Amino acid sequence: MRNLVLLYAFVALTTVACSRKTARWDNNVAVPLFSTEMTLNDVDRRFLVNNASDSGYTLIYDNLVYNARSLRVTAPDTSLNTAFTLRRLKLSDRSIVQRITLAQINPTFRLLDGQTIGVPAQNQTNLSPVDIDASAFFETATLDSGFLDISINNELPVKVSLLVFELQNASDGSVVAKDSFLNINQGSSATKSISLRNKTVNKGLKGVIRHLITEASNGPVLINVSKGVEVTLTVRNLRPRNAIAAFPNQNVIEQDEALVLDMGGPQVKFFKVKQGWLRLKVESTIQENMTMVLKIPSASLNGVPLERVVKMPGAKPGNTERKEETVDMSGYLLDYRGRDPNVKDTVNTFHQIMIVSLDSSGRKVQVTLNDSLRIYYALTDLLPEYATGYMGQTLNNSVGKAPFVLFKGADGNIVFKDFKASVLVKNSIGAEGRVRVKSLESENVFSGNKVKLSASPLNNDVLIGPAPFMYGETTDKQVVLDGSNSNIKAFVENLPQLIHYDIDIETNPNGNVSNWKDFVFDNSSADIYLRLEAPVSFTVGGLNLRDTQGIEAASVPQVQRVKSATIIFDVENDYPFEVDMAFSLLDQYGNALGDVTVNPGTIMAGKTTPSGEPMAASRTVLRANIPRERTESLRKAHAVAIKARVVGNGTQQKIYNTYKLRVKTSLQAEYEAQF
Amino acid sequence: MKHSFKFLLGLLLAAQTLQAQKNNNTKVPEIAAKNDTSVNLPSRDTVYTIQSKMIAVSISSESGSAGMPLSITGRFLLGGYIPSERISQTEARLKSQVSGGIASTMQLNVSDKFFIRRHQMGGIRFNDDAFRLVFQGNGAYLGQTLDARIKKATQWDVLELGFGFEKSKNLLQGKGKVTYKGSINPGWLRSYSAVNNFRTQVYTDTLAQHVDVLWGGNVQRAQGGFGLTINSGITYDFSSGPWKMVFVGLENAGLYYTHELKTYGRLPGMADSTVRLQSASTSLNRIFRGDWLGDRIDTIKRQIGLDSSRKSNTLLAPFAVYLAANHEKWGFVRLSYRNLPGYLPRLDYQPKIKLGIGALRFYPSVSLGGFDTWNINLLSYWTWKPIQRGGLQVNMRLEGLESLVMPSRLNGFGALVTLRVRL
Repeated sequence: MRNLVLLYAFVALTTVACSRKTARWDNNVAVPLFSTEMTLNDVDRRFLVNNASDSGYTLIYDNLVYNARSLRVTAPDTSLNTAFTLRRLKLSDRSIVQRITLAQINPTFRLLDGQTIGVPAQNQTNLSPVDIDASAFFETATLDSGFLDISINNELPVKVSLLVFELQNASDGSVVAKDSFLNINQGSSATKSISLRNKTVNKGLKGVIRHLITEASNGPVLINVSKGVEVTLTVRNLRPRNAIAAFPNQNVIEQDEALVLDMGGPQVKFFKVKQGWLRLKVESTIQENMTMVLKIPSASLNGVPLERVVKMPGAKPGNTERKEETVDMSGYLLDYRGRDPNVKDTVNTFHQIMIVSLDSSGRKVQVTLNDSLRIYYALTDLLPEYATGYMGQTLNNSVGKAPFVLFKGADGNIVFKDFKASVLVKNSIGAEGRVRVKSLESENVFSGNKVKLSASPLNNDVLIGPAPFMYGETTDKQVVLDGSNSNIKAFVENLPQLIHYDIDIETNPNGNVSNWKDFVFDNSSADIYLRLEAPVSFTVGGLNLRDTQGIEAASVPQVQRVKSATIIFDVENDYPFEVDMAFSLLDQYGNALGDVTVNPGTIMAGKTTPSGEPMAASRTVLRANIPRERTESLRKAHAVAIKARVVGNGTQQKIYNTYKLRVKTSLQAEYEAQF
Repeated sequence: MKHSFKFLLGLLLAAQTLQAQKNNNTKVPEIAAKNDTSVNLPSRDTVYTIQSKMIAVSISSESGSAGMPLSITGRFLLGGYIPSERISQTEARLKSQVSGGIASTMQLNVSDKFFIRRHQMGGIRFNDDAFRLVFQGNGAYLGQTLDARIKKATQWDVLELGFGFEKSKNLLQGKGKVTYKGSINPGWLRSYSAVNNFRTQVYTDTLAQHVDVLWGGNVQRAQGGFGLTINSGITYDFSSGPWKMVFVGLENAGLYYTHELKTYGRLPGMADSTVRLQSASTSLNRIFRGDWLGDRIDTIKRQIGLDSSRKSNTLLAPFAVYLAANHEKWGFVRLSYRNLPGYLPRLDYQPKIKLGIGALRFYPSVSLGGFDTWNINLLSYWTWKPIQRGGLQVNMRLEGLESLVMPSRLNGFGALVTLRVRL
């Protein structure tokens, strides 16, 4: 029995013990949903009804036939790659002084020091060498070029007839310099210059007087053994091949030059950079600190010229020191007028200055011919916000076909009454242009019918002026076509889906008449449209959303935990009319499940110019509330009915097919979180 | 919970029935001596406190929070709905750092040689914005940035068997006795989850048109696994001197192995950069077909760099350590610690105060630390001697009684109910 009790307890504990229950609370979540935009191209054609008698709107439909973007100015990548090696380095000019005393020349004179006696002529050879410390010059250097000036100052009381002086490297006795000095009077000096080309000079030197001949004194003279021959060694213009030395501050590269660039035709004066990069790379094996200053007077941002200073620390022996830098050139204005902007006809010319200097640290560092400093800089991937200058003369011929969307999917049931047609040229290039429409033909792909446009106004070239200097602005030229000057009616009533074209576009047909005041923006082009204007009216919902849309709320994950929701519609409306909005939920049989409150219920109209072109979109934030008591309806809904009532203002208004209704939606929902 | 109480009643009846069938008139000693405070060790009946020939069933729960009221933390144990008003009240009083946790155990002991028990416990440390984001949502903070951080959180659900052993030895010169008790506990890991250094910074535009998210850290989950832990404790009982008893113990120390630990975090190598979630640009047709949503969710996952991996892993079990002592005059003191986030070292003090009515005894105590900051507790037990041998004792320990006089202090609650039967 006891065992049964134990068994019961065991089973009970493992099977019916408490499991943790779910904790629940309400959480408020806000997420973005979707965004979309709607144009007339999204309108169901069934809702476009031509009814001139009661129409409130004129539909203006611009169909792009051809877009010419031949004047794309891009700045070619500009790069500079330079290097310098030891040949450009120099060592400081320096002097050291060494005295060879009378006592060193002839020790026996020590006994006569201070006495006044007559000195006989002397002839001595291979005097004891004297140590000379040249560490002030360098540790060691092998020289490509340079000079050693040896000055001998005769402090002896007699004339020196001959002095042969030899300078040796103390380490190996190799001769650095040797020369003879003749007839140096008492108290006078003589100087000889010796080339050090291909010589190796160490800091430890020995000065040796190989031969010294002096004349006898004129009578008794004072013997002063501390006086003698003063040797001054001066090194100058040293260009080492390799050296261990403390290099002085010096500029090793100085470049100030103008680069002429090939722009592929245009003659550019100014180039405002939309995007692009300046890439700098410096590599050095030189063991001394360096500074590189790059100035580009041709590039300025807000009036401040581009200047970069790169500090390179001395490389460790056997290693290469590297520095890289990338500069975002967006917003910079490049001046291609060269070094002197006053020279009027300079174009495509880029001014840059580079100075590389050695910053002496006072350390003795080793530099050889194998050491180098390499500098690479490049302006790359430059795209213009705009460019000014003379864009050159270009002639583009283009043959092709363009879609004509207005009649996409239409059959032969639509008749347009009272419509106007024109060929519209929109030029956003800052240069004159000439358009020659050689041929336009409409094709209805369903019937196979083609109609070639015959229009007397298009027999002549269409001249168009430059665009105003404002991004997005165009100069337009419209050639009106009607029944008296063309067969446009037959052309349009063919209900084409395709337009075949053969068009020439020429820029600057008269040459540089603007005197280098042409310009292009990044999106400048010459566009040719076929424009149709027709009075239209709309039935309910025709301009907005379809009237009834299926939804599958039940398919949304965890939808049963949504307790209430607000859908926020942020609407930007180009259209010149208000739209009243209303939503209601429908079940699978189309029966109403309830209305969804929309607050406010009206989308405001956009602002237009007096001629009806879009000027500023209106912004309306709509909130569609689905309260708690309606969420059950939402879960059951299979469709939503959208009622959109267009509110006109009683006057004729133009509607361009470039108008947009931009909608961004987000969701705020109260849902039940669980853990 | 209801099932467990029914189970306890059933066991009580079974035990009574069992005893009624015995016709042995041997007087059985009381289950607990007058001053027996061993029921305090460690915090519920284990092999340390169960004597041979005894069955005990206990249910215990310890919960608390520094920052959140019991009406919220308790729901995570008992389940149920947390009203929005309560969440708002808590949010208004939040400190910058919040912690909390729950530890509950159901256990059946058969003498000191065998037990079976189930642990469900968890702890968490997080900041005030994490509370706001989880309990209120980013929709309540449009145009603001929430910088939510969960420093550490773990949750365990394990089922264990325990096989006990004991060894005792008398101290020299009759000074007392030392008893070593322990058990080896193979166990089954029912579920485990952990959050490690999770941080998310969320900015929601005033119209919710974009949500900027910066996040890091990871979340781990495992279901299924096995492990082995040990309980080990030494009790010194002194026959002379003011200190009567000293206990040092370790509980649930060991490892659990799971063959599939899922980790959700950022893609490897992805820098902690801000991701902007915006409206999905789509066509009208897709909007009304409704099939943009699936792509959108996939896109969002890619954008925020959510990645997951699975691998086997070994986990350190949520152990507890105890140090307790009983003084002749001062009473009982215990220092304990659980290896759970949000759990501070806890000090319990039970003075030598005994209240009672008949067979009912009460022992008040205070505690500092644990999941909560401080609590006033009450241990009670009732002994019933049935007709025949054996006895029946019901212990109940309640924690958090200070909330009876200070309702705003209802941050934590603990309860221990034990039913003991001597066979």
